[in-house]
Amino acid sequence: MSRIFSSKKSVFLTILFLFVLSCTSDIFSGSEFTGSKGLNFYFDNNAPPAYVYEESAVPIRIFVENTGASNVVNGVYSLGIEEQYIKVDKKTDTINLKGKSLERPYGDQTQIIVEGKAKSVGSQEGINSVLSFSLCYPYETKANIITCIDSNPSSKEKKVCTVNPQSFSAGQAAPIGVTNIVPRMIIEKNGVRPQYIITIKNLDKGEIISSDYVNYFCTGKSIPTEQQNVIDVEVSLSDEKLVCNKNKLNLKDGSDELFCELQRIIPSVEGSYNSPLTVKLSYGYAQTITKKIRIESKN
Amino acid sequence: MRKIILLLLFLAIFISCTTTGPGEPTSFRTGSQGVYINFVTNQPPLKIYDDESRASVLIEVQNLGAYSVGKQLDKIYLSGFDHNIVQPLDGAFNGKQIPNLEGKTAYTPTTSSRDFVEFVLSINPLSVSKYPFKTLATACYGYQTIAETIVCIDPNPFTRGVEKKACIPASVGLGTQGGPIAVGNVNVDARKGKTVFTIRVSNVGGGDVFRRDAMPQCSPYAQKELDFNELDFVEVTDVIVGVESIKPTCKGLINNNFLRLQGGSASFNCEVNTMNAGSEQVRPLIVKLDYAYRTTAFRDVEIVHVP
Repeated sequence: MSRIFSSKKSVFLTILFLFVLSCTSDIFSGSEFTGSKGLNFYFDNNAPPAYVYEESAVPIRIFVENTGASNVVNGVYSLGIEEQYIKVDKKTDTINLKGKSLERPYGDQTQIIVEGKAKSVGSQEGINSVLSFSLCYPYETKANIITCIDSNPSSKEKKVCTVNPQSFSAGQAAPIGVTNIVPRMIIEKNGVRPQYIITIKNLDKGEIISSDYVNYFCTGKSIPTEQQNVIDVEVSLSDEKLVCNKNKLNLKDGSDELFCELQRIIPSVEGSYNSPLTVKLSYGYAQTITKKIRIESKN
Repeated sequence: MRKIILLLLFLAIFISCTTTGPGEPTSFRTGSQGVYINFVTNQPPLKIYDDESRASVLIEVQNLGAYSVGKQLDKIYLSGFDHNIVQPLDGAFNGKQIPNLEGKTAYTPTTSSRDFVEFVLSINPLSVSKYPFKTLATACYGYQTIAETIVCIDPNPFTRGVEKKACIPASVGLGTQGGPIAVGNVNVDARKGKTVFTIRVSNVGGGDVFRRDAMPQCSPYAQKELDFNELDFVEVTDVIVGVESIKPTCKGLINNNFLRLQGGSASFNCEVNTMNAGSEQVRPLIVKLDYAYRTTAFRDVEIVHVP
């Protein structure tokens, strides 16, 4: 009886294992790092605290970590306060944080400390105020996707790989990511011309702004409409640049598609082989977090 | 005492049952492989770092069949990588000669000869963090299968009466003959005055068979790949019954020479005139097949970028 039970248990565990494996089969994310965030930041639980008294100190601490793979250079942060209730010593500054790399598996972290003071609430018992913290930074996504080149699709010879669409749900350690590529080998004279349909998505909840204008979001300046939701894109196959139908994407609806092809024909004598397709996205990203604070009267 | 006698008796029986007489021939024409190729462990290693700039690929080549290889057109090729990243320094495009490897013989029926072929690859620095690829080794070589068996021919298969016969014509199963193409079985159809042999040929080696004159197209780098009129062709060079070649009588061959395999096998038939045979008798039947063969082996490799 115990033997029957243990064999049933083994079968169950095997089926469960296979199920888990199939659900996680998108193991290769298109990058050595995965993730759908750039800078991750949050208010410290106790700074600011949920309640402060009027005319008392309001410590504000924001923890910022670069969880992505791109370095942040000359990013800008901005603290938004209701000036009639709170005053602070510094509301904006630049921020630089290195991202993950092969030599450094974790990105840089920092704490932004701002000393504030709650003003008088007058005759009121207390007031609720909202603090906001915005980060604006230029960022990059570099997706390296190993794709199959079949220079003679009609050949019956043994091939080392198969041309297939690929999906990536885990992101490439950045808030904008490549989620899908559909390769096509177009047969032309004596070879093929590889073509790719590439889908790019905003994987986080921030705003996309052209990297030249991203800091305007944090400094309160007006951003031209044509600079919003704009991403610069470059695609290359084994260091050979592809020609795409657009060099700027517009992610107004959260995603966009790009069509690229190799200018030269890959001759059929080259057979089938794997080749790295690199998609480089350059953009600015802006995010805001908020926290409520109650300023109580001392009386 | 009784126990000792029993033990000695048992030993005597055991020894007599396991000794073979002197000079008993061991058939060397067995097996379904010709040339077998395999990547030597760690050559290349599973991971290559791009600061190493060179990588050695060593391929073990074994002749498991009964025909010698190593002629001028017998070659091994290496492919399956992006030439912008990995460049063969020698021989991968034109192929490297398969070394002279003797096939099994009557004197060496179980010995297979072995040698190694080396390729050197140049690794360019990567612009990505890693480059996984599958490298493919392709061996293209000419081979021959000789199938020998004994068949019964009966000039009068339907005689009246119940007289005893020296032999009765029957189909013969041959198995494999030390090559990737095998004569699987011979169907013997005895009729008055002639016997018809239906010979079934199969591709048992797991690779691709093609015409010898199409050898240049076997290369993965060939301008033109093996086409419909070259792939799955075996040349029937001779069919001998006794001392007589019956190849001119063979039907089902293309251009009187070639057999096209479909789904890995095909049949053709030949006949021998038995009018002058007198009575039923056994004769040796020899079928000689000539062809070119392609075998492959894969190895997964990853090149890792060193920052």
